[in-house]
Amino acid sequence: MDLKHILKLSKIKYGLILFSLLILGFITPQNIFIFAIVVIATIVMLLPMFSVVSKSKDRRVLFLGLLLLIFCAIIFAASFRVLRDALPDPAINQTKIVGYTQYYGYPFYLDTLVFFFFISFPLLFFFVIKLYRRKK
Amino acid sequence: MKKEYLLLFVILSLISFSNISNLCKLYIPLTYDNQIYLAWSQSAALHLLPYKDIFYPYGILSYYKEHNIFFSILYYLFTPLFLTYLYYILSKLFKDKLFAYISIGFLFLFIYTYSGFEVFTRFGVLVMIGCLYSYILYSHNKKIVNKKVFIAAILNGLILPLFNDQGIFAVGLFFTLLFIDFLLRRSAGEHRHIIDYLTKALVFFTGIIVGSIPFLIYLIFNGSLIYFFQSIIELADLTLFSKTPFFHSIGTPENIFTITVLVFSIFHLTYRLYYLRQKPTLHNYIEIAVVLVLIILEQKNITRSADKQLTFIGVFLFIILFSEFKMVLIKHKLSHRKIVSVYLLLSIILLFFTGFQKAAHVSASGTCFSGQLNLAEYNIKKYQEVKDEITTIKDFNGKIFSFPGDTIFYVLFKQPMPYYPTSYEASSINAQKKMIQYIETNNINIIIYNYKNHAIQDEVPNYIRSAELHSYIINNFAIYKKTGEYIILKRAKKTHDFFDSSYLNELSDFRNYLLSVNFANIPKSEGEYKSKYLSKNTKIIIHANSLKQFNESLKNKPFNTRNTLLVMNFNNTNIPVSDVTLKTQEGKVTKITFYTCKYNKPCILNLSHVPLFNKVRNLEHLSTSNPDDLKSINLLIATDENYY
Repeated sequence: MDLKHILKLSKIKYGLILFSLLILGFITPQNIFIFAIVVIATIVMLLPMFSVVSKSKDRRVLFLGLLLLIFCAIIFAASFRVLRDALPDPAINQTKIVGYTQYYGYPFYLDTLVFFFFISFPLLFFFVIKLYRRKK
Repeated sequence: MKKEYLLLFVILSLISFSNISNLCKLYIPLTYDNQIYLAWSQSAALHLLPYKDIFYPYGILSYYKEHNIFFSILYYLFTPLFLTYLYYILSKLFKDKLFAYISIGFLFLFIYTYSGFEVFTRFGVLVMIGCLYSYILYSHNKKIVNKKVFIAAILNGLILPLFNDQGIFAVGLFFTLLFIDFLLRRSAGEHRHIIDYLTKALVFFTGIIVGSIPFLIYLIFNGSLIYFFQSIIELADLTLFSKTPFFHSIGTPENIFTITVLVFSIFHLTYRLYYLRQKPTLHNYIEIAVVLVLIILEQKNITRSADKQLTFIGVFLFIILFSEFKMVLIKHKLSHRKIVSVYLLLSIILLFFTGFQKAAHVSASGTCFSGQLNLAEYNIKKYQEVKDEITTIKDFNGKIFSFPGDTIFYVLFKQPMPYYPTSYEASSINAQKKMIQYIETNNINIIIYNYKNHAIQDEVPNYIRSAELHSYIINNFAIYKKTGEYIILKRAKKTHDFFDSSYLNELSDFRNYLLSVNFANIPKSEGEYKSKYLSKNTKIIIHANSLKQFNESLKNKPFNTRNTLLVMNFNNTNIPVSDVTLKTQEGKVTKITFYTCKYNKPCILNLSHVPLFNKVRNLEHLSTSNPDDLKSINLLIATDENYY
């Protein structure tokens, strides 16, 4: 289904789906169901954008990048404890400040490092793709 | 054209009228944060100077906004001013007034519903100045650019004292954008000489100096210049003790939304500008500025959760992305009406459907005075009782100190508060010393100790966070009386023993809190990490291979606990949590609980920081619930500061 088709539906079905989800969101109490509705609504909202990407000549590269990003997020979530222990411990001594991270032994820079990895991921990804294409 | 912006500014000023309530805050209920705000408000009323007399990290706009009409007006007008400028940028991006109006209306409603005007004023300034820098740098006329850079830098210099952190961030933002502009133009084949960029940097730097002159005059006039720079340096400490893990709060709808939009924007920008090497557009420049603003502010979010405060920036980035997406839709020959309807639906969904936490709105009805009256009637009663009790003390000199941090007492006693409002802000050793100095120089003889508050923030026990200050209090003050959840401590002779107090036996909760120390939250890795210092900087007093042998050594020669470390090695055991009970020569007992360390990795306990041993005592006996698991037990004297 291309973008034109999806947005042609906006007059009736696309708009109707979004509107129904909206109403559903209003009447659903704040619990796990609302999370499911938000996920569905996000997918519906992103449909036109996916359609644009799927029409692009670089669609394979773009979808690969997106999938890798999700995969990396899962890997990070699963290996969080290993990562935490691999980094230097938060040194506490009599002259150092004692806060949550020091008291609970949480490495100070771990989440900053992960954050910077994710925001620099697109650059790394496209750099590798470019390199690969050049070699080819 | 100008009339349109003026009219919009007037309309936005009118519809953001409820922001005026932030100029007369009621500070209800009296939570930890509200008490500090109230104490700061009193400090401004008492003409105490930020940086010099008190710790204040938010800039002089919010400090003086309730007490100085100039700052009140400035504060109130910032919201419509920033929004008007953002409308100007959006009208340039959409090239369509209808979309620009829908967008600014949507952004306004979002700020009103979720972020609140106060948050928008604080963080919106960086978004506004980021867009301004991008807009200027995008221009192709070199001469005009330098002139505009100079004016923008003056503006940045003026903003610096009003919002300290945002002003400093804005300087960094300019230089980052300048560097990105250099890369983008190079990549697009538009070669500009490096001298052009150095000139821009110099012009910007000069503008900052010029813009900062009024603030420098204010600081010099008040003798606060050195204190200001000192306080900026000290802010680094704030990040150290306020740091909480980001991952446990990453799952909020606000964080998910903002980070998704951020990562998606970076993906989109990299694809267009790096992978496809397309010529950058104004959209891209503005998008880069907002992405950089978000990256800078996300560092604050990572240090301490500020997700709800940053969502409006995510929404603004979403609007910019849609303005680009709109071009794609037009390319696909979709009708204007369809695009508008899709945009409206997306906006409505973001406004009402996302589960974002709504902003608390303070009622603008009633006067400031009646508000404060309500506050006195309904919220201060329990604090007033403590005050009444203290004022009956015969030799009370009118000054108190609150531990760990009920700052409302400084307001009630009309007393200038210490430089740091609570023991949380005074987590660093230097700050604790400053608190002790405050007690000494003000000749304070009464301490109000909140004995129900075991951990002022982040579950770190107060006597661990503020070991120096707590030790000083325990050694110099004795229990006088209990009122509600507060214990009134009175200055005592140096020779007194806090744990001899008959009152302490009656306060079983408090006694238990002081004598049953739970270190179990400290991970094993901490003890393992410290073990590398053991061989270097310590002197062994007792080395025993069993508990019996250790106690026999103590029996022969009791040792005092000054700078003493208790080091225990365990056999390979499955018991996750161990404990040790220490008995002093006077028969006082304290129990310490901690994670059992791994085989060959010692557990290290610094006895000086255990409340009972804040006073130096002779150790007589030691016991544990799992003696068979002990491989060796040592008593050492630490000669360095690597233990706490």
